Order: sequence, then structure tokens, then C-alpha cells
Amino acid sequence: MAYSDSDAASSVGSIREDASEPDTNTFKCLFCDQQWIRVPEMSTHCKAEHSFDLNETIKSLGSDADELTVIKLVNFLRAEAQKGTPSQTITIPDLTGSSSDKYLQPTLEDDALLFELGDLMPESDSKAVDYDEFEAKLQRDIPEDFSKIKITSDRDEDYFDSYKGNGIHREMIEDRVRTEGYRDFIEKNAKVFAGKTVLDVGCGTGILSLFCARAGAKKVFAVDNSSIAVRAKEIIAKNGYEDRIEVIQGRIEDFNTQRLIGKGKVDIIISEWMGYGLLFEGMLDSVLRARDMYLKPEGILVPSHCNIRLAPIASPEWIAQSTGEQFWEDVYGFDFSPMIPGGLLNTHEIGVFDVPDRALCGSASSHLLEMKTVSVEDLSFKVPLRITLDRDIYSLDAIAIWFDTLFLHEASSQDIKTVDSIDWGRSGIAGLGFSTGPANTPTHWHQAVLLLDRDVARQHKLSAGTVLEGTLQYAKEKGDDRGITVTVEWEGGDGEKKIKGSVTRTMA
Amino acid sequence: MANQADAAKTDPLSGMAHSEAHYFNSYNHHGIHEEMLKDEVRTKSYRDSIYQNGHLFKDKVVLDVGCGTSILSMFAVKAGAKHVIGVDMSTIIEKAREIVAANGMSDKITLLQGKMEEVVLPFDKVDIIISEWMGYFLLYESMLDTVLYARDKYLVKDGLIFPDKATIFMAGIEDGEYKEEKIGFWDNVWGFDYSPLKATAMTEPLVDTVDIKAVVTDPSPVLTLDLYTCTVADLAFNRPFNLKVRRSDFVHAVIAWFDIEFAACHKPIRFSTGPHTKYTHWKQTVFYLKDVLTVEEGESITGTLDTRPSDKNHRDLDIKIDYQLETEDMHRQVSGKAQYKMC
Repeated sequence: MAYSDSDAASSVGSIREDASEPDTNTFKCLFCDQQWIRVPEMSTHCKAEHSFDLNETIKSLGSDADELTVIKLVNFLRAEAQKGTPSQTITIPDLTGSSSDKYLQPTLEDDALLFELGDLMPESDSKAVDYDEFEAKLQRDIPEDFSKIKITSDRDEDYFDSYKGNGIHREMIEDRVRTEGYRDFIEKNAKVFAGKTVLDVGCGTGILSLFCARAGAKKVFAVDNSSIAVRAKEIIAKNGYEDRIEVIQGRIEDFNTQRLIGKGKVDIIISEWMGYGLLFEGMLDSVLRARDMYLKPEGILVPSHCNIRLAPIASPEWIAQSTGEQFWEDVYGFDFSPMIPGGLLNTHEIGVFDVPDRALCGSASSHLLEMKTVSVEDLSFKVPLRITLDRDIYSLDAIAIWFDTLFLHEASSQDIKTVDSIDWGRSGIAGLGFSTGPANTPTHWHQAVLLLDRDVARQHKLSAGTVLEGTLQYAKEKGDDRGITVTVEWEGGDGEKKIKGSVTRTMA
Repeated sequence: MANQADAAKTDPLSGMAHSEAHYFNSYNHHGIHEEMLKDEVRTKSYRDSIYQNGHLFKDKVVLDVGCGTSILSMFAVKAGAKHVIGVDMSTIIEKAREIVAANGMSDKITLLQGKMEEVVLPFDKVDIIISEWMGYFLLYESMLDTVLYARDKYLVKDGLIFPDKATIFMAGIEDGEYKEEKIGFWDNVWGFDYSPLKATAMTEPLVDTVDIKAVVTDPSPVLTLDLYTCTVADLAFNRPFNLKVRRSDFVHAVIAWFDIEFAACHKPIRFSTGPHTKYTHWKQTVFYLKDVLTVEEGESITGTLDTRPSDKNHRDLDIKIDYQLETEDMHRQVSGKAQYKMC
């Protein structure tokens, strides 16, 4: 192992002391030694005294500039100032590519300016954020102990907001398949956790962190951007783990988070990041960012692999029930058929249902993601697909998508290559992972369902054994980090009858 | 208390995951409309109050505030209205247009998408306002303020409002088992003490079905809103209640529900969302108390219900309940204050 345990311990200790009073500091001007408390005043000063227009510079970074870009800008400007470059002659390099990542390292130790990103962020119409309202929303239940929040879009606000109440945490904790899946892995592999530093990304109420600490982890960083982090802290203290679990409220890439955890210091990243269809509204981006920033080269991710699974549905009865067809045809004597299919299952969105196993009419190939190596770009993909029908069908009504979650590590007896990706879900082994498929105990993920247009569906009169080949595509919605468009295309058929079809649905 | 099995059967959203509710529990999606239309107590009460009063609707101009899928507008046309204007902010109005066309009523119903304050009606005044504006606990995310705006701007003198009366009721319930399950759950979560979430759970009123057998006190009407006269200011109120204990038992929570009346009808039509009658999608709202009250028949639980829109977010409700057990037994005397937030 490249890092000794004592190294990690000492750095963690010193970091915590530094973090005790992050808010009260003044910060230095970008170019001289003058101290400032408020960004706008420093900005005016920079313009007047150093002929440097900070606001214009930030605007010139473009609409894609996020907090990371602005952090890099600040560190770059400070580095230039240290070198003695006159402020008027500084040219801003490209700060978006990975070549600029060196500027994520603070140039000044404890640079309080980096805590004022809210004031530095460029204003753009499409990403307008009312900070007051946002803070008020998050704070209304929990006025105390509130650390910095950074936001980039309204979408995020909704997302974190929807994770705030008690009900949903209870529902997630009560999802036995999920929680027992993680617990069984941690408890059966306590050796893997003993003495290790763990990062829990999106910790929620802290249940996974608690499992890790109970299994012997030396140090757990529990990070969540939602105000639930405040409760997680209380819960952890209540259970006597506050010395081993450190709750950080913020984003994984926040400067404050970086400062508390330290680069490349983590042995294990654990996270329950999965969304519907694995990647809809999920948090995998954050987990991958956490991996790249904090995980040691030999570190492990929990889960280690996820397998996107897909199967065809042929069941007009189930479809009729799910689209509310019967209901809409006669509503108190009126014809409401424009609402068909307009129930929860419709022809523009991806629906979320518990699909009965019997509604499936075949199996399909799957798409495996290895967490250690997958990149953010890999999350938009188009992969080949092969569907084999296991019974005669008179229509191909819909496509169901779900995922299997695997917990493997170096010493696992199970090799990923020999996990039967099709039948594994049915025979799932405790501690090895869990499946969210129709054959398994229902989970809060249910299954994602893409309903085919009726005329397309009815063209598929096919017999058992028919093979359809095509592609499965996941495409991120532009400007919406969590929305996704899924396209499934196929062709094939039995004998003379060749058939071709496709379906595209979105989850916004 | 809560009859979960029944609720699951009748409430299509009850079995859904949080994020599903997040996705679908919006008025732009159809699930909520299906749920509301399937609520027979609700829809049939509106239907009857309109169909049984053809003499009131004949040749009248009717405004349907928050028309949704336009079912009430179509009831009004069938009852003889000269013209109906349906207004809704949601994009459901596009579906409503298709539905109205499918039923051959496009010339009788004008559907407008937008805020009541902003749309331009094809008539200066309307004779009748119909609206299904009620939210959970009557007032949570309700459209009543919009109805009152429409009344003041568009309703002719002596015009009618369907419905025209709403009353909030309260009662005390024995709910030991379910309170333990709902609140006590947090004491032991997979072997960990999660009690910090208990405090939050206590401040969240629970919308659920209450078994009438759990009700320990007489119901007490707390607030009646007369839609002809009430104002937006009346939607923030502080009112006393007096719950007369009917049997010796324990009281873990107070509940609230509402009744709706169509008093303009020839024969008044009324429906209740209380625990004593048929299920509605509004269910009842449960407020857990910190104390468990040990009550005896003949005693009273008195107090006040204070409700107002939250300063921070007008769509949220701040609710305060002060309560006191009126008993001569010193050992059982108890009083308390509780604060809740519906958001």
C-alpha cells in the first residue's frame, strides 16, 4: 500500500483543526496584501487599483464555467500574482480541460476567498438561482449547524430538496434489498474495511457510514449536499461514532470537502448512487469525481460493478392496466380517451413500475459498467443488444430496464467474468450484490418501462426463439445533468418475416 | 389506526416510491387526474350537485377554476349551461381540449391556460363559479385564494359558487400502535439509534386514513369558510376547539378533516372527508402529540388550532396546536404546544 495508516491519520487530524473556523476569515486581494470581507468590494478595488475586471474575466470564461472553473481561476490569478506578473498582462489559460486541474490546489493556504464562490459565480439567465430562497428552503427545518451550500442550477435545488423530508429516508432505509445488500457485503467483508479510510458519497442519514464504522473502518467521511447531513451528524453522535465518522455537508468537489478529505487519501468509496434504470437521476457523476479526486490507486469502490439489464415485455393485459385504458374510456359517461395512454405509462416518458415477471417475453444481453474504470463520458453510450424471445408473442408492448449491483473486491471468490449476467439476479448471493429485476423482491427502484407505440407493438407477431439484434442507447439530456433519453433499436425476425423497430423515451 | 391495506387498494399513489411521487405527483402528469377522477365521493358529489340543479345552470355562464381534465366543465354543459370557461395553469389543459372535442362540446367550453389573474375571459362576468380547489387539510396547496380572486373579479351579484361552504373538523384518536411504528421506527434502524429523525417526524403531519374505531372524542368544528364572504385573510386563523371525550382511553394524536357543502343546490349536497365515512383521496391529516393523554369519558381536550401560510414559502402551512386535558385528576393533567409544517 502506498500510504501508511499513520500518514492518513495525522493528515486527517491536522485537517480537522484547520476546519474549525472557516467562516470568519477575511481574504486577501488577488494582487496585493489588502484584506477584504466581501467579494464585490474586492472586485471594485481590483478594477480601480489593479486595472483588472474580475467580473468581466469570470464572464469571459463562458456559460459552462462552474465552481471548479472559478476555483481554478482564483488559484491561477494568485499564482500569477506570486510570480509577480503584472495584473494587466495576465492572460487566462483554458480552465475547463483536465490540464488545468493543477489549479484546483489552493495557491494560498486557507484561502477564504474560495468560500465566497456564491458571490463569484457568473450570473446567467438559464441558471438563475435565488440564494435566499434556496437557503431559506433548506434551513427552514434546521436552522443550526449549516455549512456552505453551493448550487449551480434550479434542477439541483429540486433534487436536493426532494431528498430532505423524513419519509423518503425511511423508505430507502426500509428497502431491505438495498440496505441488506450493502450491510451483508460490509459485514461479511469486515476485513476489507478494518482500519481503512472510507468515503460515503451522498450519505443521507448515514446508514452506510455506520455499517462501515461498525465493521471496523478507521475513518469514514460521510458527504451529502442535502440538509439531511445535519441529522446524519446527530445520528452518528447518538451511536457513539462521531470520532470515526466525519459528516461533511457540501458537494464532493467543494473546496471545503477537498480540504477535509485530502487528495488520494481514501481506501474505499461506498455510495448508494443508483437511480432508476441505473443512471436516471443518479449520482454516479459525483461518485466518479470522488473516485478521481480521493481514491487511492489501489482503492476499491462499493459497488464495484453495475449491470444494466433489459428485457422485452409482451402483455397487453398488463399494459392496459398500467395505462389506465379501461378507466379512461368511460369517465362518468364521458369519453376521456385522449388520456390513453396517459396514465403513468405513456408514450413519451419512461415509466417506473413493478413489472410482473410473467409479462416478460425473453431475455436480452446486458451492459456492464466497471466503477473503477468507467468515465463520465461512458455514461452516454450506444451498445449492441441481442434479444431472444422465450415464447410466442402477438405484440411487443414495451421494454423493461433494470440493473444488478455487484460488490466485488480483490479477494472476492467470485470473478466478474463468471457472474451469469442473465440469471444472476434470480440466484443472487448474500453479500455479493443485489438485482432490481422483475424476478426479485421489489425495490424502490422498481423497473424502468419504455412503452412502444401501439402500431409498432402490433407489428411484432413473433415466435419463440426469434432473435432481435440492435442497440441500446443512453443519452444525457443537454443542460440537464440528471435527465436521460433512452433509445432501443432492433431488427430481426423469424424466417421470411423481417421486422424492424425502435423506441425512444425520456426521463426528465 | 390507519387502514393501510384499504388505502393501498384505493389510492394509486400510496404504493409508489418517493421519486415516483416526485415525478408523477404533479398536475402535469396524468396519475393525479386519474386519482382524483377515481375519487368517487369527490366526483359524484360535484356531478350530483350540478346535474340535480339544471334549473340553476340553464343558460348560465359558468367559470371552472382549476379545471384540470375539464370534467366539471362538461358536467355543467350537460346541465344546460350556455357557456363554460375552464381555466388551469397546467399543461393538462391541452388534454382537456382533446377530451372536450371528443365529447362534442368544443363550442360550449372555452379552455384557457394561465393564471386566473392573467387570462382574459370571453365574458366580463360569470353567473356561476365551480371549482374543486381543496387540498390536504383543506388548505394545503389549495386553490382557494384563486377562487376568491375569481369571485371578486368575475362573479355577478347574487351569482352562485359550487361548493360554497367548507368546514374543518378535529378529533382525538388512540393511535399507540401506529405512532410507535411511524415515530418509534427511528429508535432502532438496523441496530442504530436514529432518534434525531424523530423530532422531524413529529413536525410532519401525516396524511393517512384513520379507522373510525380509533376516534376517542366527538368531532369539533373548528373553522367554517363561507365562500361568498370569506377573504384571503381568513385563510390564516387561530381558532379554539373542544374535543369531548367519548370513552376512557389514551389519546396520541389529533386529526383534522373537512366537510364540503353545495348549499346553493335545491336539496343541499354535502360530503365529508372524515374517518366516519367513505374514503377520499384527501384522507385525514394526523398530528402526533408529544404527550400521551390519559382521558376519561366526559372530560374534554381543549385548545387552539393556528394555521397560516409560511412566511418563507407561501405554499407551505405553519400549523400550531395548543392543547390541554380538562380533568379534575391532578395526576393526569397535561397541556402542551406543538408546531407542524406541511411542505
